[in-house]
Formats: sequence, structure tokens, C-alpha cells
Amino acid sequence: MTAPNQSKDREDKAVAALISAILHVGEGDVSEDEIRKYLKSGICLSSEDEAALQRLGSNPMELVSKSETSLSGQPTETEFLAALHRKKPAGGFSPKTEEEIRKKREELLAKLRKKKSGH
Amino acid sequence: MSVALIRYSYKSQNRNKDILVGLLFTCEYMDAMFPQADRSAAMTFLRDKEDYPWLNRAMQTTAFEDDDLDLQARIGLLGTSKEKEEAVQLLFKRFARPLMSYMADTFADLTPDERASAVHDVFIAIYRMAENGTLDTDKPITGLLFTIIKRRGIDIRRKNSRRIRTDVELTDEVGDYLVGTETGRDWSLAVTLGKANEVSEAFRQFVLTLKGQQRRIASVMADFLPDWLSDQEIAEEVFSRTGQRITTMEVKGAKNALLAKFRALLKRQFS
Repeated sequence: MTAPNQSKDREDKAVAALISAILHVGEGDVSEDEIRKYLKSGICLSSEDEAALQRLGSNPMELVSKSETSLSGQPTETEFLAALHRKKPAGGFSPKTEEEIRKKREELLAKLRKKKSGH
Repeated sequence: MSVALIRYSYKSQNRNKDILVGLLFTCEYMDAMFPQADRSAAMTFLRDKEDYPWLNRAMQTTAFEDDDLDLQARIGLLGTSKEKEEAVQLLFKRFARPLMSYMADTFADLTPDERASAVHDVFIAIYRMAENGTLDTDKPITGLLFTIIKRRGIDIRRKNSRRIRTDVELTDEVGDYLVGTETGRDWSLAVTLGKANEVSEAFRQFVLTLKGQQRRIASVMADFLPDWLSDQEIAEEVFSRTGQRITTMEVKGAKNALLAKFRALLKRQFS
């Protein structure tokens, strides 16, 4: 027979395990459902978060040159971010790739025009 | 001024709170009137409320505008360097605050400066991906922004900790703790009845209302199964992540409070 203390301990651990599973932030993609609530109007940040965001300024591009150090100085474990360190070929993309980019841009522009004209 | 108001009441730490919130109230007003915990709870309430047609209309408008903005940004990101920069600016203007809010909810153990840096890193990452041709412009950028920042948060958290194990280990072993327990049986029943997600979401929302040590301990518990860390090691982990010292008694107290809350939410499904 299981002693009451042992049984309580097992129950506590079962609840704690469920809590870990529920609160754990895994590496999977963030779902649309999760994102939706952050896109609604009226986002309120704490004064500390607000101040921290303001300290970095309103133009992330100003940090691009500095970020060489920032991003590469902090080792990341995910392949996803590691891929960001890949560089554009020194001589630019091949003519074929450039053409594909141009076509893709035209395609998206057409899509945007269509949306804006309400069709 | 036409202000749509909702009277919102909730109980928190034995206090009865009764506050008025409305979409047209500015953050500054909320800042001046209510402490952070109250504002967060009120905003969570607003976000989750589906019963207000005017609120739903406002949200749908935002969704349409976001679709256009996303498309516009992708076009820019396929353009010249200057157009790419403008696209990043456009995205930053719209998504910096939502991303910061997501980080505050998901990575409460990180400092505000770490969270803000992560926000900036996301936009730099998008620019880099566009520059080196690894950005998939067939897919919306919005989801990618949140996924990048989540992974960035995980990376920072791992850098602050040295104990975190892989996701697979955690998810594989959870079931072992449930076998042969009443909690396991209750959870199975909640899954069968389709109530498990409701319990999970209610618990996550509860954790978002926590402050200080309890919140920090919850964020450590999220990365470790019960036998992986002793209370002393949880206190050390909190210190290593946040620089805040806590006692094992505080760890025990916070853990008990979290367990009790979860049990109550689970049991409520069957009452």
C-alpha cells in the first residue's frame, strides 16, 4: 500500500509536471491564434518595457552596423538564427536569382493592387 | 467624446477590484490610473472578450490593415536596399510594441533591456534575411516576426541558464509523472471532454497576473520537470536568470500556490 505522504508527493509531482508542460515555451512556430491577441488595439506595456524600447530608438536599421557584434557576439543555438549570418554573395545574386526576385516582387505588387482595388 | 466602457471586476490577492476600461482610453490614462497588474488583467479581459460587436469590428479592421501592410513590406523587402530599410521601418512601427508585449508575457524572467534588444534584433534579422535571399516572401512576415522573437527569447534564456535541457526530454517525460495518479486521471478526463485547453489557457492567464518571485519561479518551473531541480536549485536558477536572490522557503511557498491554483482549475471542470 502506498503511504499517504508518498501518494501526496506523487500527486504534487504530477501537477508540477503538467504545469511545466503547459507553461513551457517550445521552439515551434508561434501560431496565428497566439499572435492574434497581440495585434489588437490598445497594447499596454509596463513603464520599464516602454522605457527600454525607447532607449533603443525608433529605427532598428541604425543598429544594423552595430549588430554585427551584437548578433554574432551572442551565440544562438537555433539553426534558424544561425542562418542569418549567411552573407549575400560578394558579387551580388546571379542574373537568374535577380530575375526571380523581380518576378516575385511584380507578383506581390499585383496582389496588393488587386486587394486595394477591392477585387 | 464617445467612449465605449466596460465595467470590469476581478478578484486579486483578496482584493476586489473594479475598474472601467475602454478602447479609447489611452495607455497613458491607464498608466496614471491603475497599477501594472490591474492594467494587464484589464487588457487581457478586453482581448479575450468576444461579446462586444464594436470591439470585434475594430479588431477585424486591424486584421485587414495588417494583411495589406504585410504584403507591402514583403514587396519592399524584395526591392533595393533603401526599400528594404523602409519596409523594415514600416514593420517596426506596427509590430515593435506587440512583439514587446509578447516578450513580456512569454519571457518574464528576461530584463526589459533584453526584451527590447530582442525586438530590435528581429527587425535586423528580417533585413538580413531579405539581403541574403533567405526570406520566404510567399509567406506573411507577421508570423515570422513572432517566431524569430520567440527563438531569440529562448536563446537568451538558455544563455542565462546552464541547466535547461532539450524540449524533447521535457515533453517525453511528462506522461511518466501522470501514470497511476488521480491528477493523471483528471487530466485524461479533461482531454476527453475537450476541457484541457481551457484549463491550460486559464492557468497561463493566471500566471500572467503574477508578479515578482512567483512569476520568476513559474518561469523556471516551465523548463524543468519536478525531479530535475531541488528547491535550492530552483532558487539558484532564478538567481542565474534574473540576479534576484530568493530563499528555498519562498520557492516552496510559490510552488505550493501554483500547484493549488492548477488543481482548483482542473477540478472546476468537473464541478
